[in-house]
Amino acid sequence: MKAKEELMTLGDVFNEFVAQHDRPTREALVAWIGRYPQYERELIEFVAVWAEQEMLPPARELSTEDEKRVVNRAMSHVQNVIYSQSENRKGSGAKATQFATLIDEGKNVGFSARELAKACDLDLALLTKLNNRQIDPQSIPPSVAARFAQVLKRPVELIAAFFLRAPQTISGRSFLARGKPEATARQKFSDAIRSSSLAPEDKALWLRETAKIDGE
Amino acid sequence: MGKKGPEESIAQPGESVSPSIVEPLTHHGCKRLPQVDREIRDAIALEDTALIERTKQRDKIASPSLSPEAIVYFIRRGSKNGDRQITNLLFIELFERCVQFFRGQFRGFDEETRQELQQSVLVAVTEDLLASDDRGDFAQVRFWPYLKTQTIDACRKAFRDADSTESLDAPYPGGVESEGRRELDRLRDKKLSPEELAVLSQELERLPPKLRKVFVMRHALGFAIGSDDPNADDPKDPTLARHFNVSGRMIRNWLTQADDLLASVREI
Repeated sequence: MKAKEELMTLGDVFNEFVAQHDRPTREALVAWIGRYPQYERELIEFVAVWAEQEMLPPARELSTEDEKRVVNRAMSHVQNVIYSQSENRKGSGAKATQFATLIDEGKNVGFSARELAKACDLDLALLTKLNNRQIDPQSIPPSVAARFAQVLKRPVELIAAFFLRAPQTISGRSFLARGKPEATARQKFSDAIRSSSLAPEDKALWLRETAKIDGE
Repeated sequence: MGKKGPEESIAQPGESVSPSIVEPLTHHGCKRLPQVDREIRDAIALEDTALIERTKQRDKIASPSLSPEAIVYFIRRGSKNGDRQITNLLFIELFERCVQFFRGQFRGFDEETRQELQQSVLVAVTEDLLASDDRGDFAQVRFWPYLKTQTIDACRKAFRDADSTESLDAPYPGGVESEGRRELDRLRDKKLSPEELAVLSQELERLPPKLRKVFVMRHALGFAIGSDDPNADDPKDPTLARHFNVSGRMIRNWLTQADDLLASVREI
């Protein structure tokens, strides 16, 4: 754990210095440099300016109009900060809830589909099924969402919510269909694992997890 | 207006409210003073108009008032709750107190710069108080030292900028012999008393910022001049030579320049 001295920012150190000393002195400065050697230069400058401000004759006061102008300008900065914060909140809220597909999100963080599958200990077929929501969400172990969340740097709840969405229709084949395209029946995650190209030991690891969910 | 945060809706004005309702400060062990904590708890359930009225109350003995530390708390609460109106009104109250504090401050700057510096301090205060993290917590512990720090720091930055354009390294032609100069010569090598410094106060304003700084560090703070090889100075005992990274001889030259300028000002 870091010492308090290491965690103190320059602003913290200045605040504490002013709060603890009625006036600037060299003795206090030397003591504080001993505590915060990383801020030696800034502390010296700060104390020098403070001493200078104490020595110089008081500045002439601003007129009432000028003081009002200062307050008004500061208030307009307040408005700007509040506005930009509310915009950021809206923006980040929208961004947090927007989620296209696993593969698209993977591209956003620099993964190809194959790389994303590998990063999540899956194969391409499994990723495609998850991406098209062809897997029964109730059969997916929570660790799957957790892996995607970690790799895609998105909240785990968002991934879990993605799995719950309606299955994607296979639009690429719809031109062959006589009727409206329908989603195929959802497969159990354990079945998808068994039919995957994963190595037997990887399959075994996944099946151990799905066993708890499937009640096997 | 008038809507309270969900956790505060059960409290009535004047009722004692559980201290846990007031969100604790988290920044480096910052802790509100008991008086501030009391003020916040006493005002926490007030309707917005009553809260504003209380911030305007200057006579602390006649009726309850709000310290700037408590106002900061309510600003942060308003901002967190997305209540723009109360946040704005509280900011106006706080800023009006700040500009009163600024009177006579920012010494050594012209009027336009003083206005700009006041502005920059209020901008910095705004950023701290509306920050999503806890960087502004100290303002709820000791607001006036916090504002004083901001004020001194604004001057430090302004002087630093001035320093970057001011060169004192040109060969110095040497001072003129005069009564004022002789008097200053006598004082050159010792720390001046507060009375002596007070006498110099008006003249100091005429010195270029960097010379003034050297003068103040030497005579008001008692910094040693340092050796001609600043790296040879004891790092635990800051000297002017080490701080400015020049030789002790150069520092003496600067102090002579300062003395000469002060002497000439005195003779005008």
